[in-house]
Amino acid sequence: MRNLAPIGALTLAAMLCATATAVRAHDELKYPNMRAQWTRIGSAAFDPNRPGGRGQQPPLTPEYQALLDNILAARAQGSLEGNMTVTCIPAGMPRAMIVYETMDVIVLPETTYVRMSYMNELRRIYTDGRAWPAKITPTFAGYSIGRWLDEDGDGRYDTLVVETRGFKGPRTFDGTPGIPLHSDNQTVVEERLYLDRSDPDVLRADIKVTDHALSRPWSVARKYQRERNPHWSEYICNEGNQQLLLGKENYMVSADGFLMPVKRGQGPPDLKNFNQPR
Amino acid sequence: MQVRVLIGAVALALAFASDDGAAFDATRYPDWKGQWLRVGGGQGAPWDPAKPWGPGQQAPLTPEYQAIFEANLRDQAAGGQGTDPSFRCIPTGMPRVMIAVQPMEIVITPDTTYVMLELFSTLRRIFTDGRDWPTSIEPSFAGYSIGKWEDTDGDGRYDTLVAETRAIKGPHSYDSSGIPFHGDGRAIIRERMSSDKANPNILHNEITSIDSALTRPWTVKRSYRRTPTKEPIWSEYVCSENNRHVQIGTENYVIGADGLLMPTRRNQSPPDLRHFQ
Repeated sequence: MRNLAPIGALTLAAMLCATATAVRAHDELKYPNMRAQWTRIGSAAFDPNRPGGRGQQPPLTPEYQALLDNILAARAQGSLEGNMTVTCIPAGMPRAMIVYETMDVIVLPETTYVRMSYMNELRRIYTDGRAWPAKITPTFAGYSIGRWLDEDGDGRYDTLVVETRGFKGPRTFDGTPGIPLHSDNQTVVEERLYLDRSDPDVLRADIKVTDHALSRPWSVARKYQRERNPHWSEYICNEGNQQLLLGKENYMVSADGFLMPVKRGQGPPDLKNFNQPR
Repeated sequence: MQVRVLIGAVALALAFASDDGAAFDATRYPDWKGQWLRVGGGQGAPWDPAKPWGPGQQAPLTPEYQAIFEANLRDQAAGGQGTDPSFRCIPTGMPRVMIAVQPMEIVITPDTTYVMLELFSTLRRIFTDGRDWPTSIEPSFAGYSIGKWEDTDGDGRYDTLVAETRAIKGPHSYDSSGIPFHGDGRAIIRERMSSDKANPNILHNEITSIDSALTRPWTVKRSYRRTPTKEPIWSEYVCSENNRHVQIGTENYVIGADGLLMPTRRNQSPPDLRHFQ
């Protein structure tokens, strides 16, 4: 009996360990430490490894290259055509992954949340093994399904592979020049998210976009820096936004509270709905 | 010796459990996963769901702020927006966002509980890592929240999240009737969030507002119901997408179906076009 006591105690101890293991709904040790605030490394062009503007050399179809040329011509006149974020419409995917402000990543077993402070966009990447729904309500962020991989075989996940569909538009790859995605919104974005092998404070995103505005898929590699002392701020686009869209015309509201043109020779808005003279 | 072995073994086991479990033992926390929708309140989504909208809320306002509230109601009746800035897609902020007019998700991690509200895509971070209040806080509509988990029934699991929120940016109001907060930005919101004892798919939130516009703290009880589906549908609330309201200077206008500016009230003057040639 005396000899059994330590065995019993060890059994109890083993049971406690087993219980702790069994009930642990989220074993953080299985997942890479991505939960942090991240900021962009590199430029705000969609491909940070190429110059901005025409230097991006997006593989557009002739139709969409012509559309981009028109956008560039309009922009040269002061128009904001092709950039819906000026009226506080979210950037959407894949542009959101440029990360203009900061990005929160929260990893839980069934969902990884990617939350951009710019335009307050929230991506839910479902990793619960679900299938694609028969019907997806289109959104700017899209509907994302992911899968964790243990690529180096060390028993821990290291890479989140994501596919995103179900988009709403209009969306562009970037803000300037405003490279357009196809208006059919059939975009598919594939991503690989993983920590840099030599620097765990760097998050990498390999992004491949398939879209009918492109003659072939467009792949870019982006990086983000972990913020050890994050500063949380709130991005409220409408709070200070002076841009105004009336019909198809952009205007600005001046600092003194008056309507202003945004391009040379722009006429004033039609005020026929008012019966009072100014 | 036997006792010592037993104690040693159990201590070893607890140490493992603590080390691993401390990473995140979800069973120590209530299961608030899923999508939550507000219960009650009805038309107009009043702040206190147990009372009618507007004056029926009987907000304990100081005489000064009661007068501001009544002027706001008159303005709303005349077609204006009163003291409610959300018509310009300014977030409703705390505590109004906890009405949860649109769905809400709660994500619990040991150091932070995230409250993700579809309305205005508001994200609240309730820090439960034991931090103190910072000496300086940048005001935000969501405010800065510090929380503490409590095990009120002593069963070894947390069941109640007690949170306090400060540094809330204004202007903000309790609900769409425009019941105003004080302009000094010193409001403090205290919450107690807990599951219903009989129905784990009901979440209760007792919310107390302490504000210089009130003669006493104002406490309301709100509840939320969990959507009974494993894969709830999340929408994207993009206020600007269909918002027809614009503000030019101090005047509010709307954009008509024809894309042209329209007045919001009788005999409103059009905007001044002095900057156009």
